[in-house]
Amino acid sequence: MDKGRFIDRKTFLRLASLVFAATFIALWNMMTGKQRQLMEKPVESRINAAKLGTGIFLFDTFIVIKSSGTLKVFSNKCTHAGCRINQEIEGQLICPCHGSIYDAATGKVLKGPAGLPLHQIPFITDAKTGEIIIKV
Amino acid sequence: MKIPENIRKVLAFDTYGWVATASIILCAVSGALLAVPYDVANPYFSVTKLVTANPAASLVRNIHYWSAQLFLILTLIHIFDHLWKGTETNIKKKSLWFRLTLSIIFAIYVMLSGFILKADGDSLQAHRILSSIVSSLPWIGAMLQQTFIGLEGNFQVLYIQHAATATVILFVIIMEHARSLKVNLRTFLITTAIIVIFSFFFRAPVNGLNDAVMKGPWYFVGLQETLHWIANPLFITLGLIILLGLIYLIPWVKPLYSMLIKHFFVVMIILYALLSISGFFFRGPMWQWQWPWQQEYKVQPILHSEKIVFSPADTTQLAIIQGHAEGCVSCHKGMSGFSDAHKPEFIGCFTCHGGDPFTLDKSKAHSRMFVGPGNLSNATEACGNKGCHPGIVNRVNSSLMSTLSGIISVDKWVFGETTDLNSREHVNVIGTSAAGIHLRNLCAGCHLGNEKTKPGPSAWLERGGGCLACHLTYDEKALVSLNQLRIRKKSDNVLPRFHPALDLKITNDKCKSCHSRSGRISMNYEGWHETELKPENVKGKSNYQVLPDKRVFVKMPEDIHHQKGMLCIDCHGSFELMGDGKHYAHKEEAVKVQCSDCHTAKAIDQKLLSSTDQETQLISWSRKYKTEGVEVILTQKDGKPLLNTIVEEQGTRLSMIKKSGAGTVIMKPPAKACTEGKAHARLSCEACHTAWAPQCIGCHNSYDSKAKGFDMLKNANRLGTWNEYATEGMAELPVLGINATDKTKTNGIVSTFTPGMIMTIGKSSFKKGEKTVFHRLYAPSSAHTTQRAGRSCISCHNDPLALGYGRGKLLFSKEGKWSFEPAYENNKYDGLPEDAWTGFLKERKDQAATRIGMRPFNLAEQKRILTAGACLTCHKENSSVMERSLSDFDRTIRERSKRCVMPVF
Repeated sequence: MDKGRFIDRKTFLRLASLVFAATFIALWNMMTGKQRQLMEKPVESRINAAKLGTGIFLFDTFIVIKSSGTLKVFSNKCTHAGCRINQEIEGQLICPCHGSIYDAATGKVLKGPAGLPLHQIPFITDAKTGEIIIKV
Repeated sequence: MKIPENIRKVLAFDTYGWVATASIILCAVSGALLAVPYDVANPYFSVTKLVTANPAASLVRNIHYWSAQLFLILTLIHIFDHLWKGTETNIKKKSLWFRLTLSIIFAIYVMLSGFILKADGDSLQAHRILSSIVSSLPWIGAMLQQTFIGLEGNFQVLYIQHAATATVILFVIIMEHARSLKVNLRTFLITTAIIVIFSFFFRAPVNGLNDAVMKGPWYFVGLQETLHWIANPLFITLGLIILLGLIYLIPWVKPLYSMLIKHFFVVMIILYALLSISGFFFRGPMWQWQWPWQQEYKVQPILHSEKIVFSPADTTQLAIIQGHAEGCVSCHKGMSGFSDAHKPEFIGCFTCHGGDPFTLDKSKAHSRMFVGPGNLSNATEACGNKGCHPGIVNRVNSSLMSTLSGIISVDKWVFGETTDLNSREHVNVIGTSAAGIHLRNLCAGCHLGNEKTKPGPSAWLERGGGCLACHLTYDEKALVSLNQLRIRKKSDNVLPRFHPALDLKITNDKCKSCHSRSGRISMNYEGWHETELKPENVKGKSNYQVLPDKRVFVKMPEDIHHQKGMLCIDCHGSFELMGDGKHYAHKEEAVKVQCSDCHTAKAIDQKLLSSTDQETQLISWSRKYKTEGVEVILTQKDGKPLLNTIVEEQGTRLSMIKKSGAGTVIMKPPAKACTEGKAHARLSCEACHTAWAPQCIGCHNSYDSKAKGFDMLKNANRLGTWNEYATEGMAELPVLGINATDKTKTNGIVSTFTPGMIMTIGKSSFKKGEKTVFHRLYAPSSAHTTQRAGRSCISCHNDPLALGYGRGKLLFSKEGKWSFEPAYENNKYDGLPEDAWTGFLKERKDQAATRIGMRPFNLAEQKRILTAGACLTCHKENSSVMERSLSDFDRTIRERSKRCVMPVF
């Protein structure tokens, strides 16, 4: 290192690259974070639950389970690797990607690989129309 | 060995690295062209449209796909080649080796994003998996997910990164690695020629949105299999990062460690190949393991051969079905005859018929199609398609009409091949034992899995057909269309105009081909009894009916429900006929509807139709029933709705909507005689209200090893057959006995029975050394000949047939002795009259019925019945004494007159 210089050229460039990379990543992170906030507006779905019979209904982003007296809404996203659960057989929800099986009545895992139960989605009922409002 | 050396030189025209480079250049060029027809806003539609109707674009897509696959394969071989030879040490700069290691991620990203961009069902799931796995990475997951994967259902980010960013990065790394992109022109041309020729004949994959089996790209099938065993996919991601780390370490660690890492990779590659093979060949629908020798074994073709044809086909009318192009409807447009739920404008042809929807070539479109979708061999993929009826198909497979469980278990029991009359059996696994062949020759034709192979309405001797057995309806127009197809020449280009409907018009005729046999309930119901007569004997006689299979039936009293215009399906609903998912041993378990569900003074259980299950709602919708505010009866056995009933006036007025379309019918409550008093409290409704039941005396079965017989399971002749020699059937009041499996009454109920298996089996004719066996088993019978008025008192209390003694004279002497003169001789095996169920005033201790828990009357019961019978020899049925006896029989006996003669037993 030359005397009188605080830092040599090579080290300075390396540091500058590091600062540049850190700034870039920070900017990238801020951008995607804000974008996520902007995009993550839940989509509202309205279901006329009174007109549904009892049973299991597979919608695009959620699953409605209606039995006499109770109504539950689960996310149809498999808790294992995020696949869409698109098959129900005799009260069991089956993920086509890796074979996880859930109990439709409770959302609990009956057979792995999934370890966590299905995410239950809260819903509200529109007092005027009687429809249930699900936000996913 | 000059020739092989020359061949090797021609084949190995350049290094793996340069051929890979040639492939990626071709891939980039074809990708740039593919951007023209590809629509990122409607990706699946654009891909299916270009594959179906734009041959040039399809060829470009194939080139894009195959060049990418070749690039990936050769890159992997290139890496393996270098590591094998140990030439990785030529790279001296760690940063370059780091970038090369990193390039593997970009290569996989480009490949995987390309797989996702085809936007079919597999792709959409892969998009979700990739999104989920990347998001789960700590700290950087969300950032990477948003930058390289994007939102579900929106391919914009993925498309840009696939086409631009990742490709540019990949090229930069290749440039740095190879220092040039100048592929030898000869190498480039040979590589291009190979890829173009391959692309001309083999289509790049594009599948449906709801295929039964979801498979990732071929290089990830092993990973998919691994994920099946690992609860947290993050471990897989970390494992892959560690593998990349190991690759990075190879040149820089001691030679021993580097060799160990390389050997570790060899083991990993072998394991991965095995996992891929198991995932590809042995994973069936529902993630079930499947073996090639299983009947339902199916595997997707490895290569999808479809020659590119630049035909002048009219593509202006290319059909769009549920967001994708479908070639089938382009040719078969304008067909009619479908039921509302199955119109092709909503579901296309492919959903049911399979085949190849993405081509306009006839033979290609029809390859691997189901001519008869609905047969149980294809029902999982056709009717049981994920968006349609998967639950029902699964239930049907375990329903009694598919399994034939009761028939098999009883047959095996009489042959001594099982000790459990309640064993759960399935017709698909009948073997070739004596009972197995017996069933194949005489019984196994009637099951839903029996394949329907011919188009057209089911003929009398055609049984089975899966869903089609009940739901396929040919109207006049469809029949005309079918006949036109039958008589056309091969060269004619006549397309069918009318399609048979798949609907709920399940007429009684659909039940008859099977249910006109054995108990013959279909025929009984309509009032027809089978005779031994020949068609020529009854020509011109109005009270006879000749069935298409030449059996002659004589007119008998019909069932009151038939008289009122009701069909079989008016009582027997979808959860009975298609099963409820349980594998029942016998019909009494599977049938849920009971007389008392409908014939009651007040409905026992009811529910608003609008709050019943989804299946009931769909049927109601299909039948255009009013659902709002309508209450229906629920069965007592399983709480399932009888959807065509109407409960009114607080449950006191019950009616049924007849499916024959002939209005409604009031369902009357039982008469006072049925409900008052305790004398007959144990009687089932059918014990009194069955008018007649077909019965036989017995049969003899022997095996002829030299005669040809028909194997109804294989639908082919076989050498050696069981022959049955039966007596003439009679139509008489059924025999009564006890069904103790009915738990509604203590000690069971009095029910109806007919001879089930009074049967001699010459087992020695099948296998030398075996003995002839004899069984005297009666079977529970639901004759389906219900009459409004109950049978007379003496038809039970003074009738030897009703009591199980067989036909003959039952006499009561002045001294109070009952005696019985049988009409038939005693059987040499058990000493009972041929037609008897039990001996006169004797008790059977052996298994006397085809069901556990069912039996003839025991001695105490016989005595009690005959005591009342003794009264009936003097007192008329409607006399006050007999009516009084109904409420308290014992008191009536105590208060009897001195002139009364009590029986002496």
